[in-house]
Amino acid sequence: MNKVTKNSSFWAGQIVQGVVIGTLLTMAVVGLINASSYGQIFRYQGF
Amino acid sequence: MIEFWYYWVSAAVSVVIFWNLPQGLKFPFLGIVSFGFIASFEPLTVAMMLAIALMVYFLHNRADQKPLFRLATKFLITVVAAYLFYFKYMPALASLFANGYDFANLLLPMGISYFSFKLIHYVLERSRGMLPQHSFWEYFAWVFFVPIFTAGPIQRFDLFMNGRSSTWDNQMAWDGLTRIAIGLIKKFVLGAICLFVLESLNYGSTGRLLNNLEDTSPLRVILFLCFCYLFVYMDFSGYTDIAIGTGRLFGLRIMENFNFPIFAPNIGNLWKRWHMSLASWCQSYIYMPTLGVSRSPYVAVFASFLVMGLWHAASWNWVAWGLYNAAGVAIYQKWTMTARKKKWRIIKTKAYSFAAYPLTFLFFAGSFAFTITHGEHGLYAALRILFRCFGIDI
Repeated sequence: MNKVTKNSSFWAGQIVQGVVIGTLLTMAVVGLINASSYGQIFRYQGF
Repeated sequence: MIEFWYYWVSAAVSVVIFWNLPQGLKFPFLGIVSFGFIASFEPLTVAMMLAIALMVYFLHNRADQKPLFRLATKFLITVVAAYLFYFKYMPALASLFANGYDFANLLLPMGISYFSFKLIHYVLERSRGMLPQHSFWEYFAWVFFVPIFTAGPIQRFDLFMNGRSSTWDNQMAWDGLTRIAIGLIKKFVLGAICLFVLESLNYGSTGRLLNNLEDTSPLRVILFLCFCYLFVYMDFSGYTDIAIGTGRLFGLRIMENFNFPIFAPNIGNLWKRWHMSLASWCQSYIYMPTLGVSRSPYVAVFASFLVMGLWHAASWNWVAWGLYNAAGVAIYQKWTMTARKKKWRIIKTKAYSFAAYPLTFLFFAGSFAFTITHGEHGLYAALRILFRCFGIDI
């Protein structure tokens, strides 16, 4: 086995990274789904 | 457009079909699907855009003799500029005259500013012989490519043609998906956080900060402008990331529009990092020609930013936004030139370098006083906000 894969801190790092990215992505997708009722007070002008 | 579920479904289905089509059918497919998608929102205005886009392509193609070609170039630039002017600026101009024709019901066509600037770029570069060989369908797909149609970037045609992949590549798809994910996180998570802070700084609802400006501390007003900047940055650059990522899924390279402007060390550098496609368009077609005629970089800077302001909207706020940024760039240019000439040591000190980043950030954040008050509040409200940052009430 690879030395790195034995290291528990490596896996802890991977899990934390996965949880953070997963949470951010879930929040982003939920935000996208709610976008039609999203209350934006400002919008970039010129679109 | 990304808020519609059918944007995502049609993008996913189109990617699958696109890569299974023979090479010769890829761009006709991309162009027709894009055009159909946009036309489903505003069929009449998009029909007018189609007529102009066809005129631009075919008139230049037919005018193969030199004097005729030059005439066609001038004519096409006039047509595209007149189209933009009529829809974007006539309502504002007419409102200045009490007896003017009523333009109040004139609807601004979707993506008109990006569309017009892209076509002007195409006509000018084609007249200079700077565009690569291309087919009508490649041109058509470039004009109407959905992800960049309504919010840019103002994609250069040569980059659209040269940067593309002709075969499917897993790495390319991964890059595209990652970029879309980053864009979604910026727009819907980080942008939402900025919005939450903005709302609390704005006493919970739109306009309340403006109503209570005299009782609001300068620090709160400065923070409010800083979060306006951060929110627009997250929202706009997030959208650009989604457009770039979607483009990658079709093997296309869409131009970058932002390069961490919040870390710019000066206002000149900031404009190489913020809305880069608009800034480079203005550099090519406003700054350089004006510099050639006037021989003054300051006149060229002011002309460029005036166009950039008016490109956003026909209002005094956007004109003032342009002049504010132009003044910043011009003063910075003069300052660095003088400092170098007179060998001032201050520009080489660590303190100067350290202070330059937050000062640039704050200066640009100040420009959002003009953009957030565009519309119902007007220029006076923008000036009230800016002066309040220094504790002055006007």
